[in-house]
Amino acid sequence: MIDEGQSFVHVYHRYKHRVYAYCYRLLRHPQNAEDATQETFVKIHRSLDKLENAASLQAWIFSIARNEAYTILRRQRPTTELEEETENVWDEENPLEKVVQKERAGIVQHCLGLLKPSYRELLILREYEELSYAEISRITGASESAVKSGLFKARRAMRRKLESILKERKEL
Amino acid sequence: MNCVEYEEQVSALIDNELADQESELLFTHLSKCATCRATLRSELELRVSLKEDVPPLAPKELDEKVLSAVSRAEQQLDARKMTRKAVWQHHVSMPWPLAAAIAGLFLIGGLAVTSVWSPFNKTQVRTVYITALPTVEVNGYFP
Repeated sequence: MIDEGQSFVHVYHRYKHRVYAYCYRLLRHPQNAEDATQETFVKIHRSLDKLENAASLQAWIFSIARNEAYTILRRQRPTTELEEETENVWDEENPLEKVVQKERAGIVQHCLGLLKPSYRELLILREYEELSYAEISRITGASESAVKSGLFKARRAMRRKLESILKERKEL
Repeated sequence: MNCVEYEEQVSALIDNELADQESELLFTHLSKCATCRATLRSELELRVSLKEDVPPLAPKELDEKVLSAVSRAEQQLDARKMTRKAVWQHHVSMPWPLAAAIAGLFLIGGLAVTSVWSPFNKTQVRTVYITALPTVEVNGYFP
């Protein structure tokens, strides 16, 4: 059960920046990230007293945030695009020319934004939220081996894209 | 295991998710494979680049939006509870002696109904005389 130290206001102030950053990095849109964060905490408030295992609070919060972010993503794109498990791991929305103007860290962020949402979220949960494979598995509903393999594919895709962008940049 | 499989292990290694035996196997392979060493190096570089990003902070106005939404939800819940309580009180509100009397009546009535309708009363004790000689008197319960 949740103790006094985990009252809603305490939980909100403890997690608001992390949840917002997670939604922002996943959605790449400040207003959508704010909406997803707000809805996440309204849902947390509604069910916090029903959470039986306080140890799983973090994973529970991120799984709610994930659902909210995906609801917004689905509104933005066709469902099939989010769910297909092909090797096409990129969104082709942004022209490459914009990318080459940026610094390396900026390019990395840009590549992260271009990555397919399911791969992007794995990198966000692992690299920024520093969650274990077991926690990521609880949040995403994928098995730990799928998390491991997904992270490998996401990193490989990132490396390849980065290499090609940096190479093109040098040629300019 | 081939290099592609080891690359997946490299990814798990930097996440500190490999078992001791798996790490040992991977390090043995890395000592012999320049390609996988290069993969490890570039994965670490990627991690450093990703970490350079400053996490965006939640906007200040979010506090007010969330806390007022939550407070509104609490008020609605309280209002619903109050309405239910008021309806209940309106229908059954009465002085306690009257409530006790009604409860007593229910108790007595319940006992009376139970005794009238008890299945035990459906059975009767009867005496049957059999006229054939020698006369035998039989006593017992008949439904």
